[in-house]
Amino acid sequence: MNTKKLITRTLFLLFLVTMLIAILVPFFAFLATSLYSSSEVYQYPRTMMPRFTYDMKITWEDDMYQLSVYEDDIEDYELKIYTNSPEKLRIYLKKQYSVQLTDEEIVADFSKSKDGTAVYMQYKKDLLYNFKTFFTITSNADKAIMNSIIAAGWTILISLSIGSMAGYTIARYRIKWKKQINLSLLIVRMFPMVAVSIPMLVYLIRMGLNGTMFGLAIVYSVGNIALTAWITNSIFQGISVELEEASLVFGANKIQTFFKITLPLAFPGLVACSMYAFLAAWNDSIVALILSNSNPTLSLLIYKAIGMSGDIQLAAAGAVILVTPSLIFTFIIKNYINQLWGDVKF
Amino acid sequence: MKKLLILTLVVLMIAAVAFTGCQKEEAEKTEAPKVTEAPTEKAEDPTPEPEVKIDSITVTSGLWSQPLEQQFIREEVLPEFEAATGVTVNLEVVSGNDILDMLEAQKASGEWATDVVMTHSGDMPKYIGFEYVTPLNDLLADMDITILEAFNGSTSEGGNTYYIPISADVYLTIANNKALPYLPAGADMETLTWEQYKEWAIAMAVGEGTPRVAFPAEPVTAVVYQMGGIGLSYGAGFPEINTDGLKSAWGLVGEMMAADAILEASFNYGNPIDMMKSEEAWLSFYHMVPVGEVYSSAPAKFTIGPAPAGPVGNGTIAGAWGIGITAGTEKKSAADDFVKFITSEKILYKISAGTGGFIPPVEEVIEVLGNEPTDEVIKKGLGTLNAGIPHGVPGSNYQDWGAVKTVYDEVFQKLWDDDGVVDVAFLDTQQAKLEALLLP
Amino acid sequence: MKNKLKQFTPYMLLAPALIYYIMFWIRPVIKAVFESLTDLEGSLSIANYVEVFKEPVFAEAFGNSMIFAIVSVILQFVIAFMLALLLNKKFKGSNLLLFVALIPMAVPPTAIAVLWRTAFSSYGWLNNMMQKAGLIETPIQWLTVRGKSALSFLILIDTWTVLPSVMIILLAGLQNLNKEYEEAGYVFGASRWQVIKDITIPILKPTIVTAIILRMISAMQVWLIGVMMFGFGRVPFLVERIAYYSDVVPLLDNSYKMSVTYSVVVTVIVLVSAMIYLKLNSRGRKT
Repeated sequence: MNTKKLITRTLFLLFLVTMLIAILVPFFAFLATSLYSSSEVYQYPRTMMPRFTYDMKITWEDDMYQLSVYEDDIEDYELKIYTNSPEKLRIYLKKQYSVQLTDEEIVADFSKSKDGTAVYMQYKKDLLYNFKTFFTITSNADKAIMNSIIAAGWTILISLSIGSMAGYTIARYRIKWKKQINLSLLIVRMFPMVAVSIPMLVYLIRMGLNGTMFGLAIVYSVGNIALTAWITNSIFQGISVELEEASLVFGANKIQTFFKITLPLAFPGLVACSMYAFLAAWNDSIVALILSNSNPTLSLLIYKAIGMSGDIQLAAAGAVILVTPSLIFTFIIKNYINQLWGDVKF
Repeated sequence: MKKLLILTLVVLMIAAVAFTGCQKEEAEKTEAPKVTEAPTEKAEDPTPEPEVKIDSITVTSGLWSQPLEQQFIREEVLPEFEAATGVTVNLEVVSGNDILDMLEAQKASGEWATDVVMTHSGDMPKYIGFEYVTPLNDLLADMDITILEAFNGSTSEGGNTYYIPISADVYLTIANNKALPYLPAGADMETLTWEQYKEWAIAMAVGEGTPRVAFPAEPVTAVVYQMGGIGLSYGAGFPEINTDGLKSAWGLVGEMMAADAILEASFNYGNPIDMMKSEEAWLSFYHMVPVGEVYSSAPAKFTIGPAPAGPVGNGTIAGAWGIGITAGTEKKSAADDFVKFITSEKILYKISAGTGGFIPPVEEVIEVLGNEPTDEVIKKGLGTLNAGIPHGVPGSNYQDWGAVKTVYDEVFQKLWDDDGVVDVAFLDTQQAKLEALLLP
Repeated sequence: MKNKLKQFTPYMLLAPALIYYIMFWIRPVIKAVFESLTDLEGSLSIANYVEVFKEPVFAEAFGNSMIFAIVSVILQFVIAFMLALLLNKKFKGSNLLLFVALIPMAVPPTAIAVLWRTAFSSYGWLNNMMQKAGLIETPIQWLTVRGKSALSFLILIDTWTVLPSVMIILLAGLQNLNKEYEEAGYVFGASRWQVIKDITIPILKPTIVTAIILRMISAMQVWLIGVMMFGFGRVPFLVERIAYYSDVVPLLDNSYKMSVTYSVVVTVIVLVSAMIYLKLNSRGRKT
């Protein structure tokens, strides 16, 4: 009996550990990529950890600086560029290796090679170079962040209010056509939004909502209201009616019952719904591109600045910026779910 | 059942009412801007305008879509203009299609937010036809640069010049220096023929035991341009699928496929940058901007050459970007200054070299090209442009250029699946598909 | 009088949702449906539908979407359920583990592509790790897979991405579950597995049905990850065809019509599948 339990326990543990590794490893690799320099991306074979420094060799030949960089896989210095312009060297070191120097520093360091000896330098790589580049390219990141927050906020408000009203009604009241209404809520999610965005855009422009965060929220809520209704429907169904009836017996009216008994019990579900609404608004770039190109959300800003380019380390940096608030939101929410059920603190 | 029926009827009724409401609004919608017959002459303003201090201009550009390019422009170029004139530049980089929509809205509403626009040669006829840009004849007379004539067909119309070309692009060959030992005897990258390119590719595959050619073939990207370039070298027109020139082209590529000389990973990429930078691929024929980016990542490791030649010449698909001033800008003097600034030889050289190596189509700039490795890209491109067979992209002749690309992709995929054996009947089917896409 | 008001309350509560959908969803959809039923000359016909079904890629897209939906939903449900059960137990650190399990949900779709391309490119970290561990000699070309392998590839990536969202629904249901029911089972001597099978799952039925149906509907409409990893047309999906006609070849005469026709076809397929699933489910239930 004991060994069986032990085996089940170990299996479960193994499963848990595998899942965690499967989730964390790609995520950390992605974080690491955002710290790579342009040349690091293509190193093979390599470790996942980003580099911190580069070893370089400078010689002076044919009236030009010959710059070589140490490559781990061949265990030697490889010639990369030759030029006699410090400006070109500065730009090269910045773009390819995230090494930031001034023209004067380059002249000071490199000119020692002019007497015929090779100069060996170790330069620090600017780990945050990709992030700095991102903020240079995008001119109004702070406004975009505000926009994303506003859009997400409106989406949560609209979806939760309309959706949970519908969900509660379907769960509690005896209405005709309950089944059909249930089904029709699902139908909304069945029609691919890709084809409907353009007519919706036209309609929103006529309403004067083109370029507003409220207009975006309306589009995001289309799918979310149905989702909220469906989720809250099943959550409210799971809250036993007896509890509400008991409260009524004790003299509370329907509204008090709802706010003091039903709502607290439904909180986890409502929280889950708000997270969906938040993510739908925060992460979308395609709807925002069509509807509010001139007033971008953060996700659209990143998409426009970096989206389709081949510089994967920049895309990773932009994505890290986008993911951070979502992660913080998720972290806060997860605490809340568990606190509500009085668990062991970690 | 009955209840379901009633519900459905009610919903349909509501929908019908809503729909009819929609119909009425449709009829009131204004039509797309009509194209007027003759280009409007800007009347000479008799009274001098009161001096209004302009503090910023908006430049909407389809060029510099790569973030590194944008960063370069913002950090190294625009501050010089701002320092010299005190006018800040609000640069927005938007895709070509989106710019057309934006300008349509600006023209319709009369509020021109954009002052300067940068457009690709393929789109210039549209901008000129819709009157989004204003003639630059006066400005040009004031400037003293000589523009290459290759692009006059796109930049000018009816005696007026609307755009000043600031960069041109062609296709070039790039090789990792590790590939050079495999060059066929007597071949040289400066005078490479397509036959030699093929032999080179096959020699590398045999010698290395692994494919070394990057032929980016991600769907709907650039198969059309690579094949088009080869076809031009063999005397074909563009775009074509089953003419003699293209048959030779498909045959050549097929032989490389049959010898396992082309990387299968090519199907995953729209450009050879990743494959060349990781050194999986050592040879490619591609647009000079990605070529420039690979080259500048380590100039000492790569060699660039002009487009390889066929019996008829070095064929390549070519394009250009031009700078223009919008028809309704209210900041003309600052816009003029900006155009002069961008096309000045020092700045144009800086931009051309700094953003991966476009060809500056202004003679004075060409004369200051030096011996730096980064100038190599420009010089090779220029050589191809002047001595080769460049051909533009006739996008406006076809219903949808994406569909044209798909026609080429399908032939390429089939060629790969058939191990490089050309299926002439299939070429004919695809040619028919291509011609079906032509606009009447 | 009061009774009448009471009778109307539920409908009043439902009204906002209904109005919202009529205004913002039904109108564009009806328009789209009408568009799909008119041919290029403007007369009513089913020519578009014929066109869609005639396309050789339609059968492939249909097959891919269906297989993807079925396999991924089963896989994701099983794993998510096991995770939810584990995380429901509130052992030390379950808080933090819950957060970890939620991470993939916070990653936006464009970042997912970056994440997995860095993983599977020939110089990506997966090959790197395998080479360092001595498992392979030369890099594996993951991204050149085709056909069913490519489909499995996408299923795995999709599972990584959506696992938390399925798990959350199940977890919320589990947390609402009255522990006493389960405890009763243990009191009567049932094993862990029996308790799960005979008590937990039946009580959780509404939640499970919710999770599966929602996931099924989304899974049948998956397309973006396929395009980001392989480009258009390599692994066709139904909604990928819609995106193809509206983004890749938008200027053909019948582009818009094809995309809306495909949309209607997708909606019908998803609707029918959902109804089949619900019917199968209610058959097992008593009243």
